[in-house]
Amino acid sequence: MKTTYKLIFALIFSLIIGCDRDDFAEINTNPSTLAEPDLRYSMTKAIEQMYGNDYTIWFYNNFQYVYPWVQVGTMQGGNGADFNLMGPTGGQGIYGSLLPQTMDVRMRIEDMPDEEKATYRAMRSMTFPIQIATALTITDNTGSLSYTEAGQAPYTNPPLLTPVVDNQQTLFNTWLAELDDAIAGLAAEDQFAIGKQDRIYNGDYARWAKFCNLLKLKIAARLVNKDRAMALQIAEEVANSTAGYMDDLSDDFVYRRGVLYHGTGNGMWIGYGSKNLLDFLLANKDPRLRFIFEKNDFNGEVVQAFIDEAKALPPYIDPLVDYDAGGDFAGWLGDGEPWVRYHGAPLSPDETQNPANSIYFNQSATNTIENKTYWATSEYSEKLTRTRYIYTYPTKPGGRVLQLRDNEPPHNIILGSSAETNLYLAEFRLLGANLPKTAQEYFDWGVELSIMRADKLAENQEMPYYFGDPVYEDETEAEAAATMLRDGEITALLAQPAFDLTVDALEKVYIQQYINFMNTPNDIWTTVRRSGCPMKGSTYLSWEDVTVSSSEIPLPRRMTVGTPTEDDINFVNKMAAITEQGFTSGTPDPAVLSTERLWFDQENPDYGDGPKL
Amino acid sequence: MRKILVFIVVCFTLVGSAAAQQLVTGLVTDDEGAGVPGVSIIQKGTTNGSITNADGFYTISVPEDAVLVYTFIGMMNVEEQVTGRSVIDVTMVIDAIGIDEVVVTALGIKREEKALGYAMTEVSGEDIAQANTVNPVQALQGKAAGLSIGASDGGMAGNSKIQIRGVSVLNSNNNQPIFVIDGVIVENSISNASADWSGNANDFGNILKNLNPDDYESVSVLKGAAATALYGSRGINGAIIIKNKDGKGRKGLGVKLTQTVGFEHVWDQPDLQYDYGPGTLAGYIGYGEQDGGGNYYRYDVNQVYTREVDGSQVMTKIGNPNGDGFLWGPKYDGRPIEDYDGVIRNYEGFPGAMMAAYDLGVSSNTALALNGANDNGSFYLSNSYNKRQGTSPTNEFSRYSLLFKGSYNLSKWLRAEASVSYTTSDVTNPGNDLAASYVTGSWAGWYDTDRWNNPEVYQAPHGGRPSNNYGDEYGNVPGNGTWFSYNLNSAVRNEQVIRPIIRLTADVTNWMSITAEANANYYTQFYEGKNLGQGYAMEGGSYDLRQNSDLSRTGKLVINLNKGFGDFQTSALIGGELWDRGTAYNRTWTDGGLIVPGKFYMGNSKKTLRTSANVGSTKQINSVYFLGNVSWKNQLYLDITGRNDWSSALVYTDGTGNYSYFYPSVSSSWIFSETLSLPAMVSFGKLRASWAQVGNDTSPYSINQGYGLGNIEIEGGQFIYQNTISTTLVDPNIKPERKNSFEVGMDVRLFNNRLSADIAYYNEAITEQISTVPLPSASGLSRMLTNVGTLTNKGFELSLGFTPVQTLNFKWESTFTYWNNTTMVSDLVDEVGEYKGLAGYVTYGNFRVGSVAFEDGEYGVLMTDTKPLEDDNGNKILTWRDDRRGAYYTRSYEAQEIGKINPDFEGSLYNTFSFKGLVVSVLLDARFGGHIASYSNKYGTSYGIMETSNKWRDEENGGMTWTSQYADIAGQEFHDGMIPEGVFAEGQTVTAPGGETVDVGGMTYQEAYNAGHVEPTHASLYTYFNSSWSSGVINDNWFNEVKYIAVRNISIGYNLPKSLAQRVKAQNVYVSLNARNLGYLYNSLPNNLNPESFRGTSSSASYYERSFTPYTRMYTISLSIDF
Repeated sequence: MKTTYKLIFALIFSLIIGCDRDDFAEINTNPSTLAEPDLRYSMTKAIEQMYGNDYTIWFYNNFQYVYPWVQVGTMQGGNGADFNLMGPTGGQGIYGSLLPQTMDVRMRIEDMPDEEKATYRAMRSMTFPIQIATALTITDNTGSLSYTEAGQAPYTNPPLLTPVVDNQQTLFNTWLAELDDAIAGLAAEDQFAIGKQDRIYNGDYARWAKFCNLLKLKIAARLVNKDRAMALQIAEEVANSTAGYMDDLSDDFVYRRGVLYHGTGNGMWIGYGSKNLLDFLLANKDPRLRFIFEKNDFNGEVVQAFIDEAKALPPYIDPLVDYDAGGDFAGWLGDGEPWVRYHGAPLSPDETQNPANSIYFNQSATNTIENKTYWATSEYSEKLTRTRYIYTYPTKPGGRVLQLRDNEPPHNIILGSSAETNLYLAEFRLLGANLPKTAQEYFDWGVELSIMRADKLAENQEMPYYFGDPVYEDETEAEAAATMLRDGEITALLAQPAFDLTVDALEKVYIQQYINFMNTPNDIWTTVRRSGCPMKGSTYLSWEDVTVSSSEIPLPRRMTVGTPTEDDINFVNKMAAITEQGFTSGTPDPAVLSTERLWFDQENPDYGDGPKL
Repeated sequence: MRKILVFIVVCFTLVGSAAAQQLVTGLVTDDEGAGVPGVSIIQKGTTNGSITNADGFYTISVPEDAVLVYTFIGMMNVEEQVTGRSVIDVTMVIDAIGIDEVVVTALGIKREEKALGYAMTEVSGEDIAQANTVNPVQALQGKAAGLSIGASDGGMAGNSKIQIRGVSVLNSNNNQPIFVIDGVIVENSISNASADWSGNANDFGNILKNLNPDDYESVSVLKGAAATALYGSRGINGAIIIKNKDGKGRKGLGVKLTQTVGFEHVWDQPDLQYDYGPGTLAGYIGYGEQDGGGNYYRYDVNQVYTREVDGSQVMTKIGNPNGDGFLWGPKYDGRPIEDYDGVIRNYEGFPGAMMAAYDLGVSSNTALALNGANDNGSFYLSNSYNKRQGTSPTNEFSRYSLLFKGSYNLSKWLRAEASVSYTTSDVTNPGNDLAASYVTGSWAGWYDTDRWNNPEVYQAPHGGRPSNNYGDEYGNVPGNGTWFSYNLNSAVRNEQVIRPIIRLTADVTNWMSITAEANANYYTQFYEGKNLGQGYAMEGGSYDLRQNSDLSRTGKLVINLNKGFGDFQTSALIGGELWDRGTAYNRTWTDGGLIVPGKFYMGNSKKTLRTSANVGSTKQINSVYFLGNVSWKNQLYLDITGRNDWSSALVYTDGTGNYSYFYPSVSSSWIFSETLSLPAMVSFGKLRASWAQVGNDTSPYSINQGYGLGNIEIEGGQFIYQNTISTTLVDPNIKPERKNSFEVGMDVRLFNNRLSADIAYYNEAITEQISTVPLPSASGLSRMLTNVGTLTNKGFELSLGFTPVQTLNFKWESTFTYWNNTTMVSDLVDEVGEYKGLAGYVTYGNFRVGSVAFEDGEYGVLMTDTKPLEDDNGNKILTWRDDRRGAYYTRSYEAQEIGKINPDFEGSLYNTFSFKGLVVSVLLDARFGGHIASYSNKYGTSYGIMETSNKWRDEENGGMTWTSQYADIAGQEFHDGMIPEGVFAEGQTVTAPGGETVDVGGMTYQEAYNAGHVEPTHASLYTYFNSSWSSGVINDNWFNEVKYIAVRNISIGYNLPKSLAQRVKAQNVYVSLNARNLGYLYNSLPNNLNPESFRGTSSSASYYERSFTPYTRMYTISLSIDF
């Protein structure tokens, strides 16, 4: 019996020991988490979230919708009759990880003793441009969003779980005020250094202030047809800001997530470049053509292979070929490499139905020799969206296998630039703002910056052909076919009529803004919506009518706004915002999306109608 | 009747008279003195026999030294030595088969079934082994009322969903019972690949595949809370108690050898159409011939895609824009077509292509078991090896398992028992995206599997996948990557499970014993992934090693007390238990490809190796519990249990938390047939009732959120860091969950058990559900973890037994089960909106079908925003496409209810026919209700691939023929017309064939057609848009109620006569033939879709279909010899 009691005693004893709350607390704490953050590290995460959704932004938003709609190119394989019909969308989010990070940083700074708090003013100020730059990309697509009351739940009691949904007017006003505060805060002295934890400007708060000024300009740009006076006033504020504005390549907001970041691992569906656009860039010998679009497959070796097979070359390539007496490839006519390698395609769905256009839309039938298809048209360069994939250079059937591989440079993305800043200033000057420089001065410098940035980006992303075209075995030919920026190109470009602001100035500025935004994930749609450029019947770069069965089809001016569902406790606020904006929710119907416009877009010209003066 | 009996008796007498015989007569009575008719009397060891007549009299002629065996179902056998007697009267007593049966209950306690106050079912181990499934869950299908098994698309070693009495935990999508093997709890994890985003479930299965059915002695299904209360929180979803065999009760040494060979074959597939080949929708055709105006025939689906070959245009598969599966083109008619390799072949479909992708699966299982016992102890040693080749290419499974169990009496009062089980298994290449490739992948109906599934086709001479970029011969053949992956890559998961148990039992007095036990379950997974690069010269390969380990340990001390007081018999058990668990994980993988292709080791990585590792999931539960039971005169039984758990998962970092919870249970049973004087037809009757509570905690760490930390490598080998805040708000005062369960039941057996019924009704409420509530993300919080509400399960279970025929040599037994369960959600906290989302998306994705729970509504209501929009009169509103001259339905874009996950009821019918040593059994099971949203049927219909897409495509399929009057195509004749049922929206204008614009708002399509405003809609346009991603609506082609009756299992078993067995010196030889998953007597799904092909096994998302699973049957031949 004694044994029994001993055992029972031992059992009770072990349970008492085993139930110690502190031990249990330790057992129940994830060893891979921390109780307290380092604010610098929290900020790094917030910055990362400014471009947190790389795949959907490119795969869906840009390549399925925006780029075809603004006529950068087509959908993959050409624009079908339904290319104006939206499917799934993507885009950045601010609520998942960005806002909780910036709010946490801000609130933790609020809680500091005054003296310490004063040294964190600049860091606190950084949180505003981080939020605003990203939120702007969202409102551009879908309008109203929660901002003024967003992210407050962890710091309110009871938690504010149903933040109001702010309309664009409120958003813009709020952001302008916040940016002014931030500019002041970023100029404060004796500040705690964030240092290299700031991946963008390496802890240079002054550059963040300049970025704030760009954000102000972006807002002003969205107001040009809504409240022009305010837009011009903002432009003047920026041009005269003590903080300065982005005016040098080193000021550019280049988003870099670290050397192992290559963008998404998933491939993209990319269509043909627009014929009008490529022809315009070619006509001016604009180097950005080579930094934004990929060369086609028709190099000298491939042309010779077609000749050998007695296969007809595409009609837009054949005239560029210099044949020797034996009918073989002797070189290129016209501007030669690399220019002969860029060809666009028509955009209108009716064009894809036109049997004559099989040279564009049925190249697997027209351009195949020995089972190998060669693409004569150019696509938007996938390297601008992600850097980790293998590029195979076109060679003749059975020829060498030449690949650009093991080149996995860190991925860079432009979220704001000095080029953009100067092109805005040129626009505002033309619209009547009282600015220190002439429009032509801002414009020329803006274009130059735009080209230099595009060149740097192409180099950084290790775009195929940047340093040479390895298919040409002759070194001189290979070097001539390189796509990198050459001396004197910018000067020559600026001398072209399309860059002379004495006539059609505003259209020319908008065209340059449009081209400048082509290699960035944001802003191009907004530019096209607010400018009406490219313009129908333009002498420079014209808008192509998109027709189905000869009738023009509507193109969306905004993206689908989802219908809130009642499991969401913020249902009422969300419905109110949809009602306030006059939107039909849920539907991807282009007839709806082309007519129910966003607030900032209401007075904007129709697609192709050209700028409102 | 009597005459016949006399005749039979005479016959037997004549047969018997050949030897030195004597006639024996007698009367067989029951214990109340009444004669028993139909008793069979057999001369032992022979086939000589007789039966009693209507009054219980019999006559038999036997040798003088014969032994007579008297048998009657429901009564104990009687043996009588004749020894010269000529009159032998016999009294037989009722043997209430199953009533005095001893079953294994919670904590492995053996109880008389009649004493139990709750429902349970015990299945014999042989039954499970015979089914020859890797996962024992599958073998339980149809075996017990209330046991819902749902096969998933996981394949051979993949998971099956098992659910007992509904859903108990709102927070978890794992609502499956625990499995308890010889007292060690193993958790049955779910597979949960997204149907929306993953084409491939890649289901390696869970720990259950490591269990060896050959060792099972019994499998008990404990359903209600009263049954599982002693398992505490982990048993909240029920428990499957597996008791392995041991050597007890046997004298001397026994050897059992079993060899099983199985064949698995894909015998049928859902219905794809093989009439029409690739082509785009009417109205979109931009290839083929041109009319006089130089335009394509846009509406003529008979146009073919061509290209120039040797100077002339030929129909071709190369570069065909619809070649990867948009089958709205012309009928296959055998005309010449350029194939992918440039050879001219015939334009035809390949109906056998999908099934040709599958191999014949072969399996073998060899099991050897030794057991033995003497007065001092016993042992059981088993060894088995299972090897299977799946039906998918390169899919394999192997398992080696070893079990040793021994017990030894150390002294008269002290007994030691120990067992150790070791299993190692390998699952190779469980990919399951093969079938889907034929419906929503790269292979259209004209794909010839036999031709292209060849190494020289899918692997180029340079070693990588053929590509036109490299000028490879087979660069145009679609889907080469699929075969490349299946055949040249390998993904192998090796698992090892070691389960040691030691137990020491001391009989302290004759009424008290104490048992100390320690056990552990150590589960490790080792994954090795080898991918041969598919790029040029095998560029881009990778190598991946992962290791997971999961160790749980239990220590217990249990005191057993047993005492009788007069008519009362009492026993009690008091126990204490410590349980803890922890996991570890590490992974290393190559980056940037392999330096030397095809060499798989870490040093071969082009870039710095990537790694990831952690330890986690630490949890400890301490418990004390007791069980007390009292019985009175073997007719009234009462059980009381109580358990208190202290769980670490409910302790906050600061040491606070409601982490201690007590829960009691009471159950009782009354054998009223003992107490009351009932008509003789009632052989047995029992009423039972129970009330029980079970407490439950939550997953480790979930109530303690912290900041995440990460690093980013930047230029120059430097690093920066990131902190990430959690956006989960945790209630600082979370309470344990409580399950309150009430159950009543009755077990009645009539006519000496020839008719029996067992019914159960239960009502259980699980309150204080610890769960997350999604919050509007704009608030800054994504979710809140708190006690959110209550789940209630109500259900009814019925099991009917019937023996329609019972003769001397032949017996037919039949068991029918029926059960239903409804899980309701109530008392939700305010932070939950109108409903709580459970899984999927109501307004997004491929399906746009989400499962949700409304307050006071059912768990798993299915909602969508794609029901067709209707006007006030319930007419469906059409979307008119003026540019395409046709109409289809319009999405409502309003979240609406459309169905539910859970079935209305399920059931099974089990028939056994025994004839001498031969036993044939047939198991049917059925499910009625609950919905399936099928990806394959949706897109397969939309893309013109499934048989449902043939509707209206031609006259044969109901298509209208008309000649178009539209100016641009005037005079063209079409045969694919249909009139959509529905009305045009108010204000809808159409361009009429005459060219004028007409307002058809409010008209039905038929009216507009009659008025000449519209022509029929082309079938392809209508069918495509009604199920497409961007505009598809919920329709009967792909969203359906699941109803099926499956022929689950047919088995034939034969025990060789002893004489034959003894020739091979065996005590028993048993051969059996088992056929599993033979087909469906009824299947409600369109296109013959496999009704048991749900994606995943979670409780909240198992309404999706994705993998287009074909039908697979398995045949097993088994030989078992006992020495």
